[in-house]
Amino acid sequence: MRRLLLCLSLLTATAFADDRGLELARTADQRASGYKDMGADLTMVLKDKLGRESRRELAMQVLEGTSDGDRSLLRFDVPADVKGTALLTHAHSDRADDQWLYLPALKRVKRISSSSQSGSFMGSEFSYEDIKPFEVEAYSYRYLGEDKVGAETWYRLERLPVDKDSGYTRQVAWLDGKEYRWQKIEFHDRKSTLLKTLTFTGYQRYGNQWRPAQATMVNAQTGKSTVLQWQNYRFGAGLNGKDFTPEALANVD
Amino acid sequence: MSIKPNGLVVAVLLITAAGAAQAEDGLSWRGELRADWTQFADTTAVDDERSHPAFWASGRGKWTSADGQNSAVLEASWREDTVDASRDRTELREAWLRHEGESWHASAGIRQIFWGVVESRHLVNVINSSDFAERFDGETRLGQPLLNVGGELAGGQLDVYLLPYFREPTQPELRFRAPLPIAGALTTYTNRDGRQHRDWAFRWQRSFANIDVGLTGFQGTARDPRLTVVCDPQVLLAFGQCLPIAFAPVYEQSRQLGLDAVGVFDALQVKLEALARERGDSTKPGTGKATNLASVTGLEYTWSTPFQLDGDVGLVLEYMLDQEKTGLRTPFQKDLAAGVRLTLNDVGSTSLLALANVDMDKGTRMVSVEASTRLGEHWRLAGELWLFQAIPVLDPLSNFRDDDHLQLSVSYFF
Repeated sequence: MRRLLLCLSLLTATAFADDRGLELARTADQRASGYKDMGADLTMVLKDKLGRESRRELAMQVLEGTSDGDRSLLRFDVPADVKGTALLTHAHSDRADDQWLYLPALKRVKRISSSSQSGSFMGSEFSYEDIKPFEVEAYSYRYLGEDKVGAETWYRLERLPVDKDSGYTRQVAWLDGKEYRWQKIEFHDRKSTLLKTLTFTGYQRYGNQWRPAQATMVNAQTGKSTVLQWQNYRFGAGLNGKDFTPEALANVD
Repeated sequence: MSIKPNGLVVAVLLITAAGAAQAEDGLSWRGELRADWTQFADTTAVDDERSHPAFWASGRGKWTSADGQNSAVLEASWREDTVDASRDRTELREAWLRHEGESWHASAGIRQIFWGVVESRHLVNVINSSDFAERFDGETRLGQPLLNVGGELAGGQLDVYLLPYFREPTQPELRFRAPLPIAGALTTYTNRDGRQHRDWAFRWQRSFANIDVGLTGFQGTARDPRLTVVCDPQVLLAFGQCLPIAFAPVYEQSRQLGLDAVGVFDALQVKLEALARERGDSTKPGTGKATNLASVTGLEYTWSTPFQLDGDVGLVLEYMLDQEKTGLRTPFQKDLAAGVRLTLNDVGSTSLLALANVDMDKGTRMVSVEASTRLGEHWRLAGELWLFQAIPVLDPLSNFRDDDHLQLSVSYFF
């Protein structure tokens, strides 16, 4: 009986912790939602362990999902050999995302399998799952505690990816207590060792939306890093579903 | 070596280069300069050169209005072959205007339209004629003059095309030749309107969650001619026997319906292209109509990041069937294509595709390996290896027996 009670109390403790973690993740998601559509220009600077740099430039458009997931469109500009290439993603919380790639040399829209979540995005330290819009349902959560960072209080939570194809077993993420913005994420690989650390800086307010100006991903195992910068944030341009169909993809080029 | 590119094409290339240097709002530009070195394993009866260096350039510019409703595109390419003049080319690949309405769109001009889902053969892709001179595998197409109107229909999109003019596919003469020379001067059309016949085409496409479906239709000049044998007139007169010396292309009228579909089931893709066509011209005696079917069924399986590799490994398997037996139109009556695709997520976006195509009846084999990687921000190195094996004499590819080759190219992109 005592053991059962102990188990029960442990269960409630865990359940309570889970609720707190989930609640924080939901708050963060709600604060970053409701923008309808957005666009931004992205620059990535990839640095290898010898400090050699290479650049990537792309334009991004996102249409916020209502019942279904978000739809996003990436158009590549640099390096020049991929200029005109575009990637369309229909994100889903209950099944694999739908993805199409436009290949400008052949004027061909090609359906692609989207299972390569853990693969690197354009050779950078970001993987495809890292650049996906955040979805609450993609993880289970556990509240880990509070940390004092300067004058601010950050909440620390554990995120366990639901998708079995994820490249991570575990993430530790920090939200600031004031505006519930993701500030830092540690990614642990399949061997449960620290793989990468992501930090967001330069948060600015656009209407009721906070967006970072920069995200820095450092690979703890290889010494490589990628700095991702966002410019020209645009919200509420009046985009609609028609702009995010495979038929429309060829017109992006 | 004579370089005499068409003035318009050069103008487009120059404008592109200038535009790329100073990009403006609403205008986007890109271009490529490339040097190719093709090394053939053998000489042939008509070509004693094993090395074929060539140069290629292309440029594209696009203007989009501030509201995004109107756009204009210009794209041109130029090729200079130092050995084979039949593969020199100046081509206006695209020159069109487009308007986007609330639930409809329209475009007019010269365009490139690609339909289809498989890799080994582009069965339902019918709008543009193949440019075999630029790439012998037909992956490059000639710009097609057209009028297009499209809109939403039944949860998908319907596009209708009027094609007022037909461009004959270009044929190389030294390498990658048909079994006999193709006598372009003897080209005939079964329809009295000839090249000016008004062709029609449509495509309806829709995505159903993990399945994409396209229905296509075409009525007009068949993009692939029936080849009739031309006899040596002197031998015919003297001995009453036909000594074949050339092919005369006959462009028939074709009516066809196509279906293409791709379904994604996690890492597995299932693909289908099917075509029903009716050819010939009932208005002309002796050219009765023939109906036949063709299909390509394919599977593609992709392993993501296998064995700690940062990249994807894909297996491609496609099976081709075609009832078309006449006129040496296609070598793909009953063929199996199998291959491996490697896509790395490295800084150079390195990729490799190795494909083997086996004719199940004749045993003909075609093997290709294509690989490329980027150097820095602007350069790309690419290589292609093609082997043609066990090709019988009476095959559309019979002259390819001596065309095994390795091609290396360096491209500068801007």
